[in-house]
Amino acid sequence: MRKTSERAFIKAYDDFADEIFRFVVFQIGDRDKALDIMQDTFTRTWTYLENGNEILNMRAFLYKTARNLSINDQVRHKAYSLEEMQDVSGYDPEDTRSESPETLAEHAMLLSHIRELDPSTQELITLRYMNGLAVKEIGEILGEAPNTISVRIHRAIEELKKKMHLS
Amino acid sequence: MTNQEPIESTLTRLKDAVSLRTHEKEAGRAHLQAFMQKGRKPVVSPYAKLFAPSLRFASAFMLFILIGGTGVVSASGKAQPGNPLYIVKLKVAEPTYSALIFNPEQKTAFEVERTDRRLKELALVARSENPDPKTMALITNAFIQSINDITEDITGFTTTGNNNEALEANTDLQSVLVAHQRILAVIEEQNPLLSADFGAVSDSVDRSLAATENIEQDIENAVKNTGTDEPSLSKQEKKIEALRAELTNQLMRDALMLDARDQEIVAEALTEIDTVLQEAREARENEDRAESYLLYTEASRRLLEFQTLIEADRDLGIGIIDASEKVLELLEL
Repeated sequence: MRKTSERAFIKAYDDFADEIFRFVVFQIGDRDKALDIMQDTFTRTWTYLENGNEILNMRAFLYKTARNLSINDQVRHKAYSLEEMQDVSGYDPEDTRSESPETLAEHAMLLSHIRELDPSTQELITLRYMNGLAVKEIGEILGEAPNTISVRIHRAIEELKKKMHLS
Repeated sequence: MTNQEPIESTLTRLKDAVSLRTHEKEAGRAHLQAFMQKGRKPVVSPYAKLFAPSLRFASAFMLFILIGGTGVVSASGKAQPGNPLYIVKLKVAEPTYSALIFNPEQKTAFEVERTDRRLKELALVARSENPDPKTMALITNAFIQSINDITEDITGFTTTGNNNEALEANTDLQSVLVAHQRILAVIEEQNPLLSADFGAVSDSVDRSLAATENIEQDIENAVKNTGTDEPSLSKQEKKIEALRAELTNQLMRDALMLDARDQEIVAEALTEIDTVLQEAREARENEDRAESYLLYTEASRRLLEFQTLIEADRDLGIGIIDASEKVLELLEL
């Protein structure tokens, strides 16, 4: 008998779709592709469950799957323009809920600096700050000890500050 | 971002800049539900063993005997309480028929029809001169079993995201129960000495109706959230328009045979139903398919309820609704 019910899985979608999408967007820098990969993450996870497998930590499993699917589509270039930021954020000039162009420009600059870091550090910053995951959860997703993750996060922030001349 | 703001706060604010839009999330959810439904492995029928190669001929013989060989089961189809074949209908004919329906939506519709039949039969027994308690208990148990089957089906539909099917089944059941609640109330009023079994069925109808009302809002919200596709809406529209036409024909057939009473009730009911139908058509023209679907379903609920009351009036003669010259005028318009 399947351990995760269909209802529970749809709830998992409702709970985690947003952060999985955000994680993938920051990995690959393309909103439309990120939507596809996010969707693919959930359908593949469901297929995994349908084959009789059990998932103990759904959130971590989804992140790992999304991570694997994103690897081939990693953004190659480092610079992040305002136009790309607008695209990724789904900026709509008609929508008053959209961030202003000035805020988006600020974000684009920050992301450009993040892009100068090595990919594993970028990923860490995305998981910790943009998706708000706890150190222990990040450790489970990346397969590393929580202490190691804590140290790496600290070093990542210091490196980013240096790049932004804030230290 | 300034030198004073911690970088960690700025990074966290990036989260708000990038997220799924509502329509993107809903479209993703609908796609996932469709994928989950499509990918379902077929459930092996409990009757599959009967069709194993070694048992094929034996099964075919048994089916022949059961369904047409002796004519017993066939003849039981219209048997009413008091007829010796009635128990064959309840225990053999109807379950066999149900087992041969593979489409889940049609199976549930048949179960709703069975529920309606049981309540009509109960009303017949209750109004007879000497209502037999054993027959009433038999019908009551069969009614409760039907309700349990339908409840399980509705839960199955909602779990798999088939919200339109869940709404239709819940609404059809609600129409049957509301109509019979009124019928049972009239019978109880006219026969205060009815047995405790009759009271038990009445209570069961009340509880089942309350259960449908409890889940109604959740299912409607689910339909609004996931939307309705064009084929589902077209199918619902055709079904309801056909039901409306059928009701008109039924009233025209029965009008002259019934006493002239409750003219205003019939006219009012038809006007209200037609108002809801008009709203459904307008919602469809405004491309609000979910709203149109919900309105058609509401029209269906009222039509089925009204139809059940008319049949009870005609078959039981208990005066819930009568046709009149005014209704005839309305139907000719």
